[in-house]
Amino acid sequence: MLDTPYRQLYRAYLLPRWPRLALLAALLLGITGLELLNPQIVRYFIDTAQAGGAVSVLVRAAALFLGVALLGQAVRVAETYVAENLGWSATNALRGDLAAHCLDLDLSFHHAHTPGELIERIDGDVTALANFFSRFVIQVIGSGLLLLGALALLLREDWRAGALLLAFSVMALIVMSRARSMGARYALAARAASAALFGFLEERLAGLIDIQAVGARDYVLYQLRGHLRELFQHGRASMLAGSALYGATESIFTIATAAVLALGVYLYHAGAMSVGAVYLIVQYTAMLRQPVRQLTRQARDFQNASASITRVQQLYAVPRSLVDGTGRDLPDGPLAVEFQQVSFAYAVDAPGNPAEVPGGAERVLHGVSFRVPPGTVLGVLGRTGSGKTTIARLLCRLDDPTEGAVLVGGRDVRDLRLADLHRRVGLVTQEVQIFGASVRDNLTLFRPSIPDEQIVRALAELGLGAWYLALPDGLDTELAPGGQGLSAGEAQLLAFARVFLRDPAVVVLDEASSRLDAVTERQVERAVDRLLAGRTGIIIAHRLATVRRADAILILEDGQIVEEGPREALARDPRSRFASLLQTGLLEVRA
Amino acid sequence: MTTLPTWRFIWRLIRREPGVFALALLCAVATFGLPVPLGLILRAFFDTLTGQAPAGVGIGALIALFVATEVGSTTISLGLSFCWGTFRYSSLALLRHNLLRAALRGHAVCALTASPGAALSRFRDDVDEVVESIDAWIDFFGRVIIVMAALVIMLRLDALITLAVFLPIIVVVTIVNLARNRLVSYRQQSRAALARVTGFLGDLFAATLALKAASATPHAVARLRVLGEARRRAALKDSLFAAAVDGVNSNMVNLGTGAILLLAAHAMRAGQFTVGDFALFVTYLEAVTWFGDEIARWLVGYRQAGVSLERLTALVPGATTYDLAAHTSLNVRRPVPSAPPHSGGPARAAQRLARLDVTGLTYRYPGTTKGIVGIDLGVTRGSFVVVTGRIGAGKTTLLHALLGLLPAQAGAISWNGKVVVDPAAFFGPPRSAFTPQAPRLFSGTLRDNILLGTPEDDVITNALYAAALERDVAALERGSETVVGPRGVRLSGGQIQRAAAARMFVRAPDLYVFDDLSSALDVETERVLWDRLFARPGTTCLAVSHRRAVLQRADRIVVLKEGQVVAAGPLAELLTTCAEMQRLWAGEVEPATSLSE
Repeated sequence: MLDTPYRQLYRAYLLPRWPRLALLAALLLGITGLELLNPQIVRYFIDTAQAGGAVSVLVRAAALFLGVALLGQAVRVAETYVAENLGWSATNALRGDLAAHCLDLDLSFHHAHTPGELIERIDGDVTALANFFSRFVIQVIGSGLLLLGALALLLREDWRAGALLLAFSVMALIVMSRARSMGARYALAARAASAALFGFLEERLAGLIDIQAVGARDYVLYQLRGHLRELFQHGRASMLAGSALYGATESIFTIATAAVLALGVYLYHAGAMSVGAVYLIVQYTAMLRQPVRQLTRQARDFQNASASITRVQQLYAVPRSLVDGTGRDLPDGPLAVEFQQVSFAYAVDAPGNPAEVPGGAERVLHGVSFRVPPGTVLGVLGRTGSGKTTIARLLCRLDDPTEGAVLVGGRDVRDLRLADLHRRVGLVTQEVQIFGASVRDNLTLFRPSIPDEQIVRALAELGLGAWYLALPDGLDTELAPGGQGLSAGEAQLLAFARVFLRDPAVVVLDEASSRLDAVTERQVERAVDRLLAGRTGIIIAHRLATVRRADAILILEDGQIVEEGPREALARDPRSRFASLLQTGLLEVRA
Repeated sequence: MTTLPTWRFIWRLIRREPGVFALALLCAVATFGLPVPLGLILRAFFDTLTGQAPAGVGIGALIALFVATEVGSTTISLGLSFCWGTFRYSSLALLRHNLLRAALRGHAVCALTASPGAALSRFRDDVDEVVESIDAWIDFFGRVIIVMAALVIMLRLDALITLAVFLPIIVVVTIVNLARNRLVSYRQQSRAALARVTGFLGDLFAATLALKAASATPHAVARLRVLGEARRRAALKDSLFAAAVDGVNSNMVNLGTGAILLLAAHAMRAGQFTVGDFALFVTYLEAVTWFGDEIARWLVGYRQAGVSLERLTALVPGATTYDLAAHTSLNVRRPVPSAPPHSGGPARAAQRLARLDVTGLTYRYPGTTKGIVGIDLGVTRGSFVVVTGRIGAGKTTLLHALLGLLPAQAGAISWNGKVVVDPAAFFGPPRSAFTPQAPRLFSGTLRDNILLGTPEDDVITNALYAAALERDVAALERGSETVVGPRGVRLSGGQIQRAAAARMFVRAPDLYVFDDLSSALDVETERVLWDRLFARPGTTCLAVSHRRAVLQRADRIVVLKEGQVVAAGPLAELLTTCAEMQRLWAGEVEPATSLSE
């Protein structure tokens, strides 16, 4: 029954936890045994009472029964604990591994999948597997054991009773698994109707202004009634189907019980069975319902889990194209940056080819060459889509060039170990991502080894000293996810501090202050100066003020360099594009 | 009195569907009542078998009776599902419909007190909570009758065992299940831990680039694992507690059986307590145990329903429980949809805009000094009025308060000299239509988004042209039938903005209101849009803008500063008399020309 993917997951995430798995199996055996034991005690009690046995014997039997019941309760709670614990440990490990895998995938993968979608695949699908991990095999075995145990004890009592109930159990399993797949259809339709309704509602609740703006209230309510009708029809049908399914099993077991009662009468009168034994087989018959239901339910869960497992495997199967280098570490001190005939194109079949690449023109950079000497600053200008951002990404080796080479400190970035490259090349982007975590974690990006004094010093140097002093819990202050409560300037400075803390030799500012208004931008300038001091810098910008401090200027258009030279020389040359830009003060239309 | 007590609210829902509700109650009694005859049949069976107390009928007849009772009860349980299903989904539909209607009737900008995501959970979970509490009433009612009957039968058989075993069980199970309240707090902790994990995952994938560029992914994943550990502990506590409570429920039958055996040992040996009696007591045990569970569910559910009702009315300011329970015909039971509503036709001549006047309009955001104060404004038919000012001057607030999207705190709005009492209900087609600064589209086709229920299809081509969207639509694979995706993600910001403008044009209102088109449109596209708008004779338009091209077109400009009108008049006049206008005109730092142009 278990295909390779399941076995792989079991081997990777359950087998290493075998002691707990073994404990779980033991507890389950205990539960099954205790459940099968109790009817035997009742039967002994009844037969002893009927035969006029001693009261003390009866009382002892009753006390034993109570003891077994209490023990059963305790074992069951323990089983829940161990199973849940196992399920969570295993799925947590899987979640972590999957998240790490996804983070390592190429940027093109992240362009194609929204964070919401990845949350659903890493958390939603894995959670759907939790039950599969912790309970599936255990419960299938447990239910099977209970079923077989009850049948075996029945056979021991009387082979005819055993055979009869074996036949009924098999029949019930077949009928129920058939009926369940029918019921699943109704449940699926109801779930789809419910998802459609809430999807509809969420959008409308977010668009109340738009609805009122064009007087579409009545129409929206009319649409809502359509969704409500769908949910009514499918929801009720699914409820009825569920209840019919329940009724079908009940009916099978009603007939089984009636047959057992008749058989009991016959055997009792034939002297082959005591009244206690008749009571016992009625009890065991009732007991069979639970494992039969459990087994068919597990069959359905198994189907659900299969879909999740398939999606998890698909995610794991996405390959990563960047291979970490193995070369030596970069030398200390400022480093030169050089692009040698670099071209870059998105692979045509790359999922989620970014929309900024218009139809078919997937080439983003074309034979770009330039060199930034150590300790100098290059300003890169160009409109959206000209390939500016790709320069930053290639330099940080978030993508590899299709042709040519990117050199840092005279060494091809593909030969360097990524961790070493990223220690020496810092990137600040336009979007500042703030985590719902402490200020410290936001600055160190969860690196544990950076001392607090160093963080505080970095904040002070970048002009966040006053901000830091106002934090209620210092570096432990929790920031709201998405940076709520931070001004745009503060968020930008925090991003600078992240890079500053790592003391890189090369700093790349990719449109780093484009979201700031003019006043805030001036506040940030000092921090930029501090950040660039003694470092090689590449400033990618659409505002001229931002490249004021650049030693050289490079203007990109459609992935090619259209102008390049020392800033002051270009500014003086009236025929240069840079000079005319300086004159009009205008640069580009933001897309 | 503006709020109904929970029970009266529930009573209103019941009165809306009295037939199915009554039937559901009857079916519940018959379904849950099954153990009563069943116990009696089993007792007669065993007593006849052992010959201790032969019943009047043969043992074969007893078995037949057993089958008939079971099958009858199963059949009736189908009826219960049908009746309860009808009542449940009909009530859910009513509450959700009435809640959205209340939200749509309010002032759209502040119609909800929670974010759309949080509001959605009230539409889903709190509405569910209220309706599910009624299920507990039905089950409780069904069980209370059979438990009474079972207790009477058992008391007559053996009063001691009945009182010593069954009453404590009811009390214990009720108390234990009331402890489920504790469960709620464990569940909340567990949900909070879950939210931290998914929130962090979201942060991770939003910040992938920053993490990769800093080689920080291993550290971030380590943090994810720490959060996962916290979640494991919270979830364990939650499920352990639930398992303990559930265990009491399911194990009570075993404990009760043991107690009966203990107490009956003497009587059974003496033949005063038969095997049949024992079978009957054990059969009733389960029903009685469930009763304790039901009492707790009923009590907890009732209180929960009250809390949920409060959350529902708190979601929509001004909505009352009366609004929620209002009997509305939804026709959800009819399998075919009813005809779409007919939106209002062209304005009657008497109502057509001649002039719109605003005096003393005031709205301050609660707890702040931000907003607008004492705004006077006039728009005459065929004129173009532009509101301008710095960021935060109150331009958008003015439009919102005028159109009833925000509740004005003072001032008057009059349409052709007649005072508008309820702007939220008054403004809208055919009188006015509005394009917000950041419009939203809905999942579905572009065409459906533009029409939003407007019946005539042929208007759409003209509207697309008027909104300068016709070339974009032609370039789309499926034209106006293109599915725009959730919130219109498949379109660019500028396309969404123009689709919202097209939404206005299909309605051909008397008054067009635009909030700053420039944030998403480049100069050229915006110019085309204005050209086409004013090519329509007699167009009246009120717009917020800071673009020179728009200001030059305006018949009249209203300059706002810190929520107040500092000047109003034609551009030429303002440029000589109004310092703020001069600053705005000169300081217009607008990225206008492309580098490649």
